[in-house]
Amino acid sequence: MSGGFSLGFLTRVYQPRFDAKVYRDTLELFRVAEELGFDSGWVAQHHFASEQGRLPSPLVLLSAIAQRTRRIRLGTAIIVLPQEPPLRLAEDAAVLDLLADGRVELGLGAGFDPDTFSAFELNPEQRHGRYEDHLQRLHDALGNAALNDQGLQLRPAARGLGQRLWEATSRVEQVAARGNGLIMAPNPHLPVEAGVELVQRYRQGWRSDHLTAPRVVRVQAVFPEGGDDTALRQDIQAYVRRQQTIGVLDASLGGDLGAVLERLGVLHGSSTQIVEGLRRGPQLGVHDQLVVQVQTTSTPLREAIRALEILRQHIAPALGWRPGVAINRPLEEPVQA
Amino acid sequence: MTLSPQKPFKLGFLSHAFGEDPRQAYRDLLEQFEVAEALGFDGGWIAQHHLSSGFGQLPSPLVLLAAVAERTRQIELGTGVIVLPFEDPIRLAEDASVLDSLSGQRVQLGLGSGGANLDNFTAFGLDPAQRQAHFEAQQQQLQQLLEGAPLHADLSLQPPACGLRQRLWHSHGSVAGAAYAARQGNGLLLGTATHDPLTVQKPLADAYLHAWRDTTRAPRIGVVRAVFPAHDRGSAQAELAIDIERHVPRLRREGLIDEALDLDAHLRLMNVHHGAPDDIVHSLRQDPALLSYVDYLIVVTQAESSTQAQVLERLRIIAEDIAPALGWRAKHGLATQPQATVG
Repeated sequence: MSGGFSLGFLTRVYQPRFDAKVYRDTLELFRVAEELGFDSGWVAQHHFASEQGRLPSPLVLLSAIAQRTRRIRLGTAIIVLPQEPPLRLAEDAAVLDLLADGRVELGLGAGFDPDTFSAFELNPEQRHGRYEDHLQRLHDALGNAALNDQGLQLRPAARGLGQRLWEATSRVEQVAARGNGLIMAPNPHLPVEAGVELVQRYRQGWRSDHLTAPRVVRVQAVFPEGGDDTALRQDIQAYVRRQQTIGVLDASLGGDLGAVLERLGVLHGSSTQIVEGLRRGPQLGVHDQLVVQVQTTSTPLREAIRALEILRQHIAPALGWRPGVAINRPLEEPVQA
Repeated sequence: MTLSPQKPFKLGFLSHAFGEDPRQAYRDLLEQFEVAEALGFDGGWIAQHHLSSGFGQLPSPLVLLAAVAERTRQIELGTGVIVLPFEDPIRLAEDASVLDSLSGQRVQLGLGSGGANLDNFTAFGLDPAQRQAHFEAQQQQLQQLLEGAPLHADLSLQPPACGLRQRLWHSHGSVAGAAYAARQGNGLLLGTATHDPLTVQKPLADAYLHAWRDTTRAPRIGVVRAVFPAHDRGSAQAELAIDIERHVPRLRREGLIDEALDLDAHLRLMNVHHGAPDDIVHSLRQDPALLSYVDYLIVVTQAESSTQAQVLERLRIIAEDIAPALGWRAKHGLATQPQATVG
């Protein structure tokens, strides 16, 4: 990994049982991360609390967060695009982007949980086709294209938000062809080199006529040792049992936390060990971001803050990150159609 | 003067987020909520406007209200109204429930069928002729979600919506629609469109009250009124003239105004109460669909070319002089009591 990348964090807004405090804690985490110099914070969308993620409305929460922060970029990783009306999503994102002075990074994915698709009365088998269709409509609306025969356009007009789309998918050639950013996470079932190769394919597919540079968000779960890891142990054990029940993980995986975390592609240990682990992934440059996930389902806020502090002080600088290097793009004027 | 007992009502304001620059319009809205809360207003309501067909700049009231929630503590956060046919009911229920959690249960969710948005239906891939059926199906689905009804595989709305089901409102232009809102146990919003108070709004209110059946809760009627206080009627009219005349061609097209009349007549037909505070108190008392019905008086104080200073000053005069004279009392905030009048 080279120097001069952006440093972000991702929260899935987990909570074992719902309490509105989970949103206040997320606000506080963004505020602290901004103070620490993090360049971006990303929230995941979950419907019906699937996987105990408590946030179905990332743009609503980010609007509150935008009032409590000034500089940190506000990302979604990801919004399940097939379940969103694309024009409403474009409107909400454009409004949020104005409220947040152009800090929005819109990460999108196709989703996977079949039950949530059924709850939306959608066929999960058709999610990729629906994803492509909604992405095109979102792109048109954010590009201020005419949306019907009368030539109506998105209002407020999006200012450069169409150049701040990200996709989480293994179909990286399509992402590159569309000129969008790539969100990638290590696949625990594949060797580290697979992720490196994925990013290479993405960069090779980038067209020289795109207006922006290729950009990669590398999501990585990181748990620095030294704090209270009771919640981590319990959550990981429960996760492994669930995955074994549905046959995703083999039953032989034992009770040793270190071995389990390694098997899951999670970095755990001393700062030196975590730095070593991060060096093994894809190279990140000035347009790329290292985005760390430091929470499992019941991680207390103080533990999450402790992890961000260690990342800020000991881990990211060892990899070449410097606060304030991140590119801040000013709001662009709307394109006149 | 005899004191007539006035039933208690809440005081709110409604904004259409007018302005040339949307970013500035949103900043102004945030400030209006802060000022209104300090004046003791019970709520602020935001209209939803889609696409480039009109003057309103805000398609996403719930996103904006989440920002407002961080800047305020007590004021209720209303939508007046959300165009329900353009929404996915699950996504709307989720967004409203998250906002309700974030704001400490301050949301008042007003819904409409999109009668003022006919041009926009095709952009959303919808047929405007189906809008009423669409509205009822979606509104019932929304209610079931808010009540926690199970969907496929026993999934239910998350986060759970604590009591938001009791804070839904409908805007309707027909007597049948008003009766429907009552049967659903929801509030009725009057005056969200240019409807005559005597011949249209009063029958809607009567039909609504007549159809109300729920014995555990009271019916509730919100009445939207344009209120433009100034030093006197002449200066109020001078401030309003440009914006009123701008609407006249559309209102004639929609059959709401028969022919070209003078400004005074247009202001009357568009239910704009204006002038010195005493003039306004007098004209609001004469309004046949207002004081004997209203549970939530919602004032509009912004026209397209109003300045922010004018809007804030109008809110102040309404909270300090006009609403108290009509029987409103601030439950919280910093509103000063009006001076006792002698005579």
